[in-house]
Amino acid sequence: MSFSNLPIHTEELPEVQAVTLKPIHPDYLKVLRINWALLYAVILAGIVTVFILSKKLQNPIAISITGSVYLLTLLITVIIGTGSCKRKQYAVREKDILYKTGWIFQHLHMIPYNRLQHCVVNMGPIERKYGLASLSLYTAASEGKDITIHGLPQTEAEQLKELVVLQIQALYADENV
Amino acid sequence: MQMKTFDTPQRQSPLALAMMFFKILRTVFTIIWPMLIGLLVGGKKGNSALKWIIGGGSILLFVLVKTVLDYLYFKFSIQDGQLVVRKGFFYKTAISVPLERIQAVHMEQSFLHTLTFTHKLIIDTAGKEDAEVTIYAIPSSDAHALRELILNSVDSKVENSEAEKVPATKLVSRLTIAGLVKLSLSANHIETMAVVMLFLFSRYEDVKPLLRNTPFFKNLIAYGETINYTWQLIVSLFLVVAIVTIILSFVRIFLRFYDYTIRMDSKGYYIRWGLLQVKQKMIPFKRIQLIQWRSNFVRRLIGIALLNLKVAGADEVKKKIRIELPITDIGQIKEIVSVYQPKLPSEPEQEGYTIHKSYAYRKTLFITIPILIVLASFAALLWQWYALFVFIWLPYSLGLQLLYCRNFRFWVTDDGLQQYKGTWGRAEAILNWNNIQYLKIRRSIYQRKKGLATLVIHTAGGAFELPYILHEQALEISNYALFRTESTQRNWM
Repeated sequence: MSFSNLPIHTEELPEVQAVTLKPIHPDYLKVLRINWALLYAVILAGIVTVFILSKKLQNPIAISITGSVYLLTLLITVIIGTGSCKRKQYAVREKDILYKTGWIFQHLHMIPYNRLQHCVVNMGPIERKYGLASLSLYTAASEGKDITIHGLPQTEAEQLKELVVLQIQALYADENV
Repeated sequence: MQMKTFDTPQRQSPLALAMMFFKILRTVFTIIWPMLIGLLVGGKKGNSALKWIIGGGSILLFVLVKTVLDYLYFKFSIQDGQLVVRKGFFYKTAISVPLERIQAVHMEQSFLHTLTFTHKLIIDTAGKEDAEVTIYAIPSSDAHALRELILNSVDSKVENSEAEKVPATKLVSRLTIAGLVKLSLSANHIETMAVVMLFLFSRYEDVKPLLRNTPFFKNLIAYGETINYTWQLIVSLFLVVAIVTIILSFVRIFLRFYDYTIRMDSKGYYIRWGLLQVKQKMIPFKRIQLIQWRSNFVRRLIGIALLNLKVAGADEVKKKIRIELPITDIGQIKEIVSVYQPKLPSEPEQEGYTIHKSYAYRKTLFITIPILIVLASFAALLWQWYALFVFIWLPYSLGLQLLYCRNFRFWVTDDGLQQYKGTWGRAEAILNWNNIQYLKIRRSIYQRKKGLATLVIHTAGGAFELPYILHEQALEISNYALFRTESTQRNWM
């Protein structure tokens, strides 16, 4: 039996901070803008309907308050969403995936392949139009949601999925030995 | 003797019919009870007996039919290394769980079970939904055989060296009556009072519209308005509430921890307890993802703690079967924990790392102050400028947060991490590198400016958080954690 117990030099370990992260596809911002436009159009239609049906609301104060709240929410969504989208970055390493997201609160996720349960490639109609896809990664972590990398080119998302599936299969094969 | 294999699908013991009947009846009753009270106190006279007979009879018939169908269409077996359960008449469900993925097996024995030589079995699976398979009653011999079969499957993956470490069913801890009394006296009575009050208020709000119509409550409310609230009366009322709460704490603790016995063998922990109903749980060592133990201020002084073994998938669904062990001798913690981590990271008497004290100021700024502003705004409606007295809480809260920061310690070793925190009480946690699922570094604008970060380590049993540590330190721990997780294919479960 071969056994070794050599010291580990932590300074020689691969460093997360040394990895150059790759930004997601710039077209994802267009996808987001279309989504926001659709969402806020639906909300606006709802508000207008309520104002038409309710006579009590048809006064300048109610209209100006609702209009201001609507515009402010829209502005915050667009500013924070755009800032956040431009900062979404990822890196695929030999044994894990790194995903950085967020503007005001920045999150750096580090997900080892050998902890992944499964992964899913999602393509919405608007994402498809721009040749983009999202990759959702699922671990067994009890708290916290799954990690979804948005704005990946479709081919890259599929390749990543294949890579993850291969890693999971290798792990189960190893377990069954 | 040949061990039963359970390869043919089988039903539960007929006693399960009674158990299932009462469970379904209870579920139906919890839905319709406000309606029943309404009928009882506000119902008009005439033909009421007939209505009650028809209504009650229909409900009982529904419960009876559902029970029989649920019983007849529930079958379990073990096929190809999987626990297979088929159930449901209208909505059919088939559950297949690989035996090695089973988290824990819980055995319960109520008075009825004891009389009929049966056991209730709860098989805890790794999934987040449909978290468990419940067999309401099977013969005790079958229950033991099924548990052994599952455990042997789990055990086949335990290395021999690990198996040799622990002798067969060694007694780790047993809670004596003195220990129970200590545990009851040191319980958080304020928490008990809050739980009772919340329960009473929530139920009172449900039935208030119905009670208003009854003469008894009308008189009671009228009487309440005539009482002259003197200091003596207020003190007496407080004493009555305090005594009732302490009695309730005793009852709660006795029901929850009576005869609590922890044993261990090479496979896992065997836990047994119960006053009215004897319960047993088996936790395989490999299923433990994270261990936490905590004491409130009084318990810390007298050396008592509650130890929580976090197993995979122990989320909201499984709170009812959480594994919380009462420890009356702190030395027992080391023994229980030693199977998970041979040596506590804090053991070499090192000082440990601390968190940045700006954590206290940020918490006060973003949590305490907004809450106080909201409270003061409401209070201002009643007390005008006196509402500002609410802000007296601010320095106390800030003091608590600073104390929390001062007490917070964490240690990093080759085996894993340990955390120690609390203001008056203490909470500790240990984590093995192997149990990490993924890591997250979170940074706000303020943290980025100050070179700080919050490191969240996710496991299948919960998250382990190190707030407001140095960003470089968070990266260093992450690099090492990733190295430890990725350099081995050792199964985390």
